[in-house]
Amino acid sequence: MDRLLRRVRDALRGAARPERPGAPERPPPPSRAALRAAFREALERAAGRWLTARDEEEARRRIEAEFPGERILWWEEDPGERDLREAGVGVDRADLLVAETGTVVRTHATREAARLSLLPPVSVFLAREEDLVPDLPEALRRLAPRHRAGRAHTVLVTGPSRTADIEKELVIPAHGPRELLVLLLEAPEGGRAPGEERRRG
Amino acid sequence: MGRASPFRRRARRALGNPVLARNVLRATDTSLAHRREVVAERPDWEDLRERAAALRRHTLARLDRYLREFAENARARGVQVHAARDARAAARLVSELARRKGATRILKAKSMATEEIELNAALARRGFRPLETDLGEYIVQLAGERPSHLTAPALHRSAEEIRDLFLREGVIREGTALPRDRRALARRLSLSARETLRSRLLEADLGVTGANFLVAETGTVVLVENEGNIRFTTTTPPVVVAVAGIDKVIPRLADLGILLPLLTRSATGQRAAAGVSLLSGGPGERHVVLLDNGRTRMLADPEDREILACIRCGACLNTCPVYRSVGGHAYGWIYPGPIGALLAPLLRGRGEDWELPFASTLCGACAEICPVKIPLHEHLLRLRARAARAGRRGIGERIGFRAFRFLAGREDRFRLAARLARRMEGPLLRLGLLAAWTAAREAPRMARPAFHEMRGDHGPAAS
Amino acid sequence: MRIALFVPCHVDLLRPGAARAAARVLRRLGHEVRVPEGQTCCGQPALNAGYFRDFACLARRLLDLLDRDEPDAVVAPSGSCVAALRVTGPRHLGLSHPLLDRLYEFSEFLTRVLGVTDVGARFPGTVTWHDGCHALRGLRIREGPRRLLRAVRGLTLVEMEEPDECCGFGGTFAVKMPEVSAALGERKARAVAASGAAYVSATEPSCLVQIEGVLRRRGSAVRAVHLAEILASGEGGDGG
Ligand code: SF4
Repeated sequence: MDRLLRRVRDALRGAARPERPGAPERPPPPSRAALRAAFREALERAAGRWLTARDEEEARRRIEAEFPGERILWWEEDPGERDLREAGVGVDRADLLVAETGTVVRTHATREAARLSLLPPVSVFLAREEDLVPDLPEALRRLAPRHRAGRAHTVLVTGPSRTADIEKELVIPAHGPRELLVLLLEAPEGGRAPGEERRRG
Repeated sequence: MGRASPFRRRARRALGNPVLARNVLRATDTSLAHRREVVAERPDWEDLRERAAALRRHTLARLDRYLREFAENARARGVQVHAARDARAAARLVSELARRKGATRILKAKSMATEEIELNAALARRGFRPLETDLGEYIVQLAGERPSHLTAPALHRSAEEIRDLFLREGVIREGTALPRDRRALARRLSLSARETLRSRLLEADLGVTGANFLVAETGTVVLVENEGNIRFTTTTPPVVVAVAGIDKVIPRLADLGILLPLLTRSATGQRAAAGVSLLSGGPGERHVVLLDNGRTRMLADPEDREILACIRCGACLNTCPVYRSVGGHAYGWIYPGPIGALLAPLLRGRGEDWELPFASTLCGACAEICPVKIPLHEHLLRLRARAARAGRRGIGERIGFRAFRFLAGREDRFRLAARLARRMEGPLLRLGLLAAWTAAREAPRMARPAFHEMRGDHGPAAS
Repeated sequence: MRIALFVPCHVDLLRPGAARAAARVLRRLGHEVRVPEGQTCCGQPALNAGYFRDFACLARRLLDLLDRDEPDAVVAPSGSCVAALRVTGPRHLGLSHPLLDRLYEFSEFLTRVLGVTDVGARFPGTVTWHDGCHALRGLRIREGPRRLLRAVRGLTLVEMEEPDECCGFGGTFAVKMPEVSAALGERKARAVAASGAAYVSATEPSCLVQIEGVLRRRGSAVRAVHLAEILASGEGGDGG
């Protein structure tokens, strides 16, 4: 490594050192409702599905009703590899939703947790209104402290897995989930989202 | 004309394959159309390009600092960071690791760096056969080929060819009813690969990936994908190694806010890739191999350094009229198209690689599309001059241009030469000596008189 | 204005009509057009082949010669030669010359300097436009020629598919990589044919040589005409 660094240093001896460009100007943050609408549109464009529920209770009922007879794995179960392989549906928390692209951001603590939204054929993310951010720069701004602090494993997921490697024909799924749903827990007017206390369970 | 050059020979072979010609053109057209659509949505596109270009140039000019920062931060997160001076050293590092771990099952994510170091061949010499998990890469692996595009390795193959390949290799069982319609077939084949590979994605000893970016401030390996195969490759095996060129380093996580949208929109015309993994350390044992392999040499030249700004989106291939006609294999190395015609001579530098800067019309479409604003055609021209200076173009060409300069240096000499050429034109054509032009085109005939020979109403005398 | 006409060697030897036509259009607009004597080649072939010294030598000679009478502007019916002298030369080998600020490609001179779009031409027929790469990307010429063409009486402008894709000429590329060059030419010829136009036009004579060569080999009836030849035809001209 030291030799490599030396070669790099030698190569750059006397080089002009252009400055870092400034950050792009950010548009003013849109309203919550606009973010929601934008996220939903982008998610659906990426072949994801959008659901809402008033609280976590209702969310569970909705998911169970959507996938009757399927083995549904919840993130708090701390599922093992065997569960992951047998489950039909994996339900994970979302940390952030990126409105511009319909992207779900999730940081995992363990290898198994990272596979909850990968192995089961259906991946569901539960999110709350305050998880909505307008765009990727904002999402990265919020993510950065976790990664600066130490080990962290984050995925940014946009729609179900896909491939276009054969004749550019878009095919869903590829190796990951064939379906991706985002279920938003709606905050009551002006209030905090229900289930707040269970966050990042 | 003498013996045709390696590029010309390979290009001829490609041009003689109508299936390939059709596939390449159709695939690149599709990518360009998708790109156009999503670029149009971003009114700040040009601003993003400017910033990305400035950011990349800034980073490369301070790569010593950022590279050290990356290594320190990755190590702080438990990652073992290795440096490899050349392809052989890098391949040895990875295959040594495989041997040490007794890794019989190796998953591989699509990566140009591992292609560059010919990792699969190195692993094969030690008896390892890794599984290429990206569908396109899997197809070229089965076919015993190399990728023909930076982001779509099998784009030169038709669905029918892939069907035959899958049948031959047992990916699909003989006798399976398959749709005839091309699009339905493509779909069916893609899904069958998913089924066949599934079990192998669930058990593995070692994962090998590349990296789209390495973030200095957090020691993060950034991987961009669509299929989910990279997430398997980085979470199934207990040990994962990422091989990445030192040019992949970016200063901060926030810089992804500029680079990721440029990359995915330019590469596949997607607003965002289906999966982006930010891996700052484990879970599990993590290695990063930082690959030099000619990059510090490029870094030392301020002009060559700019070429290292490339983020391997492949857009310059899609828009290049030459690439669109002959595909990637004609270039003779794993980096094709305009960027390949620069990287091959500068990184690998074989005699035949120095022909690639001449395999271009210098039309400039590449520079126009490049998300990090590398003036590719200007670099191609610059490398032509370097090749000429180094005498790589042959003594005949050098004398020829010197003679041309002598003739065109005075009008009387030039007129004399032009008249002679005009006299010879007929016989040369009749003897078929202008075949390089006339094999596919009618030759233009020289004007009698030429403009400057006119003395009269519209000629020089009337001025 | 006192205009010096720069007639590049390929125009001189292969398509003198384009230079005659350009002179006619400029004179018809009331300008004084001279053709400085002694012109040969600007050295572009050497530039593109990487022989920068040979290029610089020829380029300087030509620029001095064109500037001898200190014209108000120098105009050439070729985008590639102007781009070689005005854009590529300065960028790559520090070529500099007081004339470079007054050196223009024909159509850009009309639209950007003179601010003219209607030159009073008549040209009955359907025309499709090919964007030569050097004019397009080197000199940023895209809309100007189209505006000029739309103002021509009797002319219908139709766009071909991908008018900005290279025709495959590329200087020495055309004979060093003839098969690839021809493949690109074929694609361009197909696009021209599919447009349904009777003429294909460009501001670059070498593109026209390539496109015409392929069209003729295909037995196509489509004719390749230089922009200047179109603009010179009609009432004021003698039909090119
Ligand atoms: S040179 Fe530019 S356009 Fe080509 S692959 Fe690299 S980043 Fe993309």
